[in-house]
Amino acid sequence: MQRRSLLALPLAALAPWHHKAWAGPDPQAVLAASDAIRNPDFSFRLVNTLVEYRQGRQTDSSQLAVYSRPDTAGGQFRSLVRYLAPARDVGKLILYNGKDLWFYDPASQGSIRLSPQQRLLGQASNGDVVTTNFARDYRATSAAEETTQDGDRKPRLCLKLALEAQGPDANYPRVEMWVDASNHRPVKARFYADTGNLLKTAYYRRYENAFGTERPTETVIIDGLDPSWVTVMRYSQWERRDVPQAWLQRDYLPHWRPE
Amino acid sequence: MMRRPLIALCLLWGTSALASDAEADALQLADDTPTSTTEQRPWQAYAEIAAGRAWPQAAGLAQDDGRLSLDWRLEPAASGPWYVRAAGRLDMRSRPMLTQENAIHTLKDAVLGYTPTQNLVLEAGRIRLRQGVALGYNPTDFFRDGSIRSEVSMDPASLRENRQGSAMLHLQHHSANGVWQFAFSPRLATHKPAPGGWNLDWGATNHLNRALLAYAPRWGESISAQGLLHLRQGQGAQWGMNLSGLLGQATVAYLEWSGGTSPTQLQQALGLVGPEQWHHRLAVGARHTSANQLTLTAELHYNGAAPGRRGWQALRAMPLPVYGQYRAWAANALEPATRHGLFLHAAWKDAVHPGLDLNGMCQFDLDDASRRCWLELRHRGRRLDMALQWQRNHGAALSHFGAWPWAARWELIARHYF
Repeated sequence: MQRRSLLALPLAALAPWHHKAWAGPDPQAVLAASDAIRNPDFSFRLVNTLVEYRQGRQTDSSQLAVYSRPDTAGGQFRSLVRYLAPARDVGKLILYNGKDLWFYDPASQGSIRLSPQQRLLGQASNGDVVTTNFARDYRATSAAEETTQDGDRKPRLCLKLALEAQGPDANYPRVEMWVDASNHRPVKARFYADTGNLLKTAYYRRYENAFGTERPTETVIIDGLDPSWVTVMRYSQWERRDVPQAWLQRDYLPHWRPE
Repeated sequence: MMRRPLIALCLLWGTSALASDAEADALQLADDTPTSTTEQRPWQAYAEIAAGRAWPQAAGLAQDDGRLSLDWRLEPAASGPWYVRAAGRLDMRSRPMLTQENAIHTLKDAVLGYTPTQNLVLEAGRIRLRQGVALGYNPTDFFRDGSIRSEVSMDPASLRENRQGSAMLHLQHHSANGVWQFAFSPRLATHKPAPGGWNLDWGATNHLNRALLAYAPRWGESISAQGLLHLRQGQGAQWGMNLSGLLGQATVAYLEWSGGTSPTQLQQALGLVGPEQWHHRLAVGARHTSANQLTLTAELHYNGAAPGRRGWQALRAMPLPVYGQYRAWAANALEPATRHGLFLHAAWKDAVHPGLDLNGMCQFDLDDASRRCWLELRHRGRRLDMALQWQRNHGAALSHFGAWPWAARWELIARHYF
């Protein structure tokens, strides 16, 4: 007993130093910093061009104007999406008010409520297409250093974040996310189903200056089961602009006009 | 003992390498994706050509028919508080219905809008003011009667698209708590059956003064609600309600109800005067989307103003002109001819192959056991859609769907988007 006590004393004295030296960054803070790189903290508009490939061949494409407004209450974004292409879809609108999703077709002047599972194109989920803050819907439980291949197929030292869904708004129960260890830029994410199966992998790449910050302007989404099913989402025409609250209501959709 | 972990390690490494190769290929595809820009223009249009063959209910030869349609929409970008929009459609048929001309143009919308503030919208003109959350039957879509000039498909989406609006003044106010709407649609003309193909047909939708008041409170994300009051010259007030909510990540449930005092549909169709009673109309359903993007919808329909099982049997036994007059009235009003119905709808994007969609639906009359079903295989090209449609009507003579003039029909459609 005495020998144990004698050993315990110096170990206890070393404990604070040991904890300080080995404690990594706060995973949730890293996730929030990564969100801030992907998304501005003000209302804006951008154009999202989606191209879908199967077996190396382009099978579909569309172009969307995305109007996003940060919600002061919940910290998440509310978005209005307008189809710019293809010709059959021009003018159709999708309203993303959290889980309150509506699809409006100008041909019928009518709105239909959508479920979060209904997708726009390819494997691009609603959360992929509109502006989403992961830190609001997920809890990052760890941030371990790991070298991984980035979107330019180069090894990059990253922090690997393990994200667990927090609350009913999260679309996936578990996500792994790699962010650059030096500047917290998002590099890659893997999204998993309840069963543990990989649903899809997303690479964040083509960093360019938007609103004074280097932000990813392309997301490459690869299906988890069939890696030859690829969706490329490219963002352009970033524009800081007001997105009135009135636009983000279902009954406004028939009156919304492009400006 | 050592061999198993070694094999597992090799397999893991192999799988990882394969995934890595596939991801590298995917990233290469992204590298090679050209930058594209889309020119925005103030109009959209498509032309559609269709060829069909229909088999009559009674014995007889199949009949072929053709249709050429041009659908257009004008929507210039807004500059300042004023905006305009318009939409229309021209259908030219080789075999029009007995009372119709070969060419029928439908002016769907012609609207002048003004937004003095972000929260207030005023519109005047011919407006398709649509309400309702259900797919197959919309009891709160109060401005739908008389709106179809040229029916091209039994698909409810087509019936919603290809209809004319009502002349009205429409105001909408948005606040933090909800949205108010008010519409006044004046009487402009008397209703004339089968006016000319190019007639603006004001009498179809504007033969009575009517008004609508609606309020949609903001109750959060999970439930969406709307209450309505519809007033029509010479009839009792009709109340309405729309409710929709999420059941998990993949299912939307909804309820659409209207109610008020009115004559029965038979009284209205035959112009009979009698006591008015409170009638309910209801559509309740759910829509589920599976992980592979198959969307299934099921709805129950109830129309309290229509005859039930016994009344429907009695009506079928009446003289044929009476029965025909009732059916024509119900078709024009877009009301179910009988009281109870079941509606099933399926939409499966990329069902068979990327770009190849499968859509289908069935309507069941629960009062006379008749039904009709419709299937569509549609290929979406960049600018050209090809669709093959099949429709089948089942039922006894003079039943809801058995009275349709033909028992089965094929149609091949090509649609080009400009």
